[in-house]
Amino acid sequence: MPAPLEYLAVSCILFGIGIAGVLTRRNLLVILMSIELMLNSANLAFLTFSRLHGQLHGQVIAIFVMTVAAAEAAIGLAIVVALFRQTGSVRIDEATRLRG
Amino acid sequence: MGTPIPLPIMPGDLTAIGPLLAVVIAAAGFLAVDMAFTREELKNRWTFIIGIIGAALAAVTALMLDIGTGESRLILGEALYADLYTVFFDLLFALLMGASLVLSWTAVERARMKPVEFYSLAAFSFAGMFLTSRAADLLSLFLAIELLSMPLYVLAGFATTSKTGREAALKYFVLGSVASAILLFGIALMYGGTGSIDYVELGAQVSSGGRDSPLVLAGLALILAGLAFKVGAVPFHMWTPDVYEGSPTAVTALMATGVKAAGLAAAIRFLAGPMAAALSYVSVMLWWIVALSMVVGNAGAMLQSNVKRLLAYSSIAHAGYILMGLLGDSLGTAAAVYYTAVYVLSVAGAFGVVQYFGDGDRELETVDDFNGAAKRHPWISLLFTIFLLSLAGIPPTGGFVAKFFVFGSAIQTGHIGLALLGVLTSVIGIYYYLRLVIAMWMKDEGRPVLAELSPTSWVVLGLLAASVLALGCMPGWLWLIVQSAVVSLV
Repeated sequence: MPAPLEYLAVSCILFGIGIAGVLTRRNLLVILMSIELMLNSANLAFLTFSRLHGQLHGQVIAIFVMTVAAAEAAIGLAIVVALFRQTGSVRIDEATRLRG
Repeated sequence: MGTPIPLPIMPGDLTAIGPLLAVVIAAAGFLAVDMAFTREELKNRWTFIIGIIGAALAAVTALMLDIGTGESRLILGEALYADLYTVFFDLLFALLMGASLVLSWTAVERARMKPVEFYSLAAFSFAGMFLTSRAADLLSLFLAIELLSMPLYVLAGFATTSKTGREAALKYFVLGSVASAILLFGIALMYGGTGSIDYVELGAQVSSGGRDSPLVLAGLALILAGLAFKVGAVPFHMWTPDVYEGSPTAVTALMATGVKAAGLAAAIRFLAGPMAAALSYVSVMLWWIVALSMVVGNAGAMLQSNVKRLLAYSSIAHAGYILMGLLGDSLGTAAAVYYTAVYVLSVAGAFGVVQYFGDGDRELETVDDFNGAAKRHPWISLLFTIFLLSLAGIPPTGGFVAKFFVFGSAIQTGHIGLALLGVLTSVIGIYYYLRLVIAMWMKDEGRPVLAELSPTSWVVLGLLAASVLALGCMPGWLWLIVQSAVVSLV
């Protein structure tokens, strides 16, 4: 078995890619994917630690998180569709009415 | 592993989550009402009845909890707590739910939202709030925060007539989900560092110091960041003004009262409960969050002319004052809980009043729109003034006593600079709250229109104002309750 440190490194890199995606990309669908990436990187960390500690806790949490992520994706896509109907675009630059 | 584990439900556990069950059943009831009736009046009438019964049942079941000797009890397989602290917040949330049913109805209909749909989503969000004060492990905490946030992402963009609602929903959703992911990653690191997600177990691990690995520190910082987002504290506050302004006012009222109180309930339980030893690791981070929240919130509010934006920035500042209590000892924690209660009552009243001003589809938006309100509608302006004075922290309102407790505990525990900064920034606060009061009472060119208030709304607003004044004149009884609630935390 490879050392869990490698899995942990992958998980941290995925989390970083997720954050960078949310901050830099302008397309809402890509932003949604980046958020999913962040949640799943946490899942990978949970599984790694679960194996490391020899417990089931982490695996159970990962299943909960997958459920939450599905609900979150449903809401996110619904909001993107609603915004697309209003502005005809899925780019975040269209959402600049509120500021100050 | 391998041996079957019996279901961890003990007798009495279901009574202990009674308020939660009452609200979830009410939410399901709303959905049933929506399907059962076709006529709008019937739907509306039953929505109101079920909602009020649900809120009342939540309050009654909260009071039925057997507190015993005042120690915390772990229920449902050690996933949740049942103690005086949960009873206290249950009553607060039940009151908020009732107030929202009575006071937000006009605003819900004005924004062309269907009350039955609005209140079913709101009830699911309330279920999440009832969970936050109970969470006894990090998974319960995460699920509670997600449950309370998700219906609100939908509600923020729910008004089809609003030009800004969808943008507000989008911003709230994206930033909220990122905060949840950060919180979750923090939980993962914490679990990695200690091998547990249980508050009691984590607290033991952290205070024994044997395991203060970088994983635990990073995990703590990320969890604190996630919680700070939910309570809208600087530097995780960027969403607050835009989302508060763009959402329908009925939803903004929920965010400013319920979500903030729930986030604080979770943060106080997390930082002052069994995990109190961990607080020393993050106290510097918390110090900066408090200081920046007070400065940015008050300075930002001073520059606003939109009332909802003004209240949004002021809510950032109040998050700072409340979190300041956590830097002190147990008296400081009690002050934070007391402040939360006073803040929630005052803001529920203030938004309750704001929701009634306006004409047809239009709401009053800027401070100048309130010019001359007192001349035309003296009683409601008087109530509004009481709520604003409480938020500004002027005696004899509860806001003054709450600030006094918080600053007092900060000075006693040596955070004199922070207390001074708090006093200075409250002075700025007085300026912008009084701007609204002056617009109402001393200018007379405007003609603000007030929607018709039902007798029930007058009673609720009157009770809120009376309780805000009572908490200022006779703080002793609630202060004692709050202190024993905080003792049960540890």
